[in-house]
Amino acid sequence: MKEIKVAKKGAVKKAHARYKEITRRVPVSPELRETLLQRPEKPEAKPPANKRSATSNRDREIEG
Amino acid sequence: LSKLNFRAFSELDAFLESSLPAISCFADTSALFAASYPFDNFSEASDSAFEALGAYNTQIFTNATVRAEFLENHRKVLIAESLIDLLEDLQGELTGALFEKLKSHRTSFRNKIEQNKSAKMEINQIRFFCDLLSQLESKYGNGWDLFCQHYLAPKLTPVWELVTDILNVNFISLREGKHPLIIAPVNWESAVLIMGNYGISSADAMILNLFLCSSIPLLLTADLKMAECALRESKGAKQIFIPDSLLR
Repeated sequence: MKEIKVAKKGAVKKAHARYKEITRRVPVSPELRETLLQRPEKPEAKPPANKRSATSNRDREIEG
Repeated sequence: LSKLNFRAFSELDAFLESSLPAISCFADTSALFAASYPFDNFSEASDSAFEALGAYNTQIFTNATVRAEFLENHRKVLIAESLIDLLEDLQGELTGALFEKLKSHRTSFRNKIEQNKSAKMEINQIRFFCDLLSQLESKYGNGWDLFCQHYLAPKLTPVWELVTDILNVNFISLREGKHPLIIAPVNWESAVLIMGNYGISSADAMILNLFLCSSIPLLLTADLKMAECALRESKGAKQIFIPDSLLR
């Protein structure tokens, strides 16, 4: 049979103080920092498109 | 249901004195959460209630369902707080959607605290950040898992000890055979009937069912719905104590 505990005065203040202690802020780990701050690799340069863009057509019209 | 049928935490002292020798008490999730979380709306009320219980050497009991709900509540506040820690740790380095969402979360969390609303994070918000951080992967793992392992696990794992080691709450386990305080069979049928009659969660119905099947005469709760159901089901045979602010 387990011993039955009884409530003690001051317990809530003690629990709140202990809560603040166990939830104390810790600095971010290097592994998490590296994972979250990674930058996406730059996409490879695309070959020039054969089709002219609408802008270049317009430019040609102005020039022409 | 008249609120006059409830008893206020401030009456606990006089009630316990009139009930000497000491009687036992059952604490539900809301009572234990308030007693362990300093920023809960009922933290001061729970302090006064536990002071009275301590003054009369009261034995406080709880069960596995309360433990599960208690840990779930702490998960919801610890994730909310940890996301703010993450933002502040990486301030000036984070950019993009994650940075914006974390800032918005911090504003919303601070507003809730200022307005005395619950600090618990909504499940859909937790899922949102889980999805967002999980998309970021490195050789160490995905961002969500690493975030949880670094910020959440070290805080969540010791939190139940506050209940058992500091608040001195006893655990009623039905796995270890018949508990001396359980005087009626604790079965699913009764729990489901409570759930159906009042529309409360299965967890709350299981907690209430266990309390009703016990010889424990007193319930400590900061959940008004739980208190109402307990009062109706116990038909005056048990005393239901709630924070004074809920009686106003």
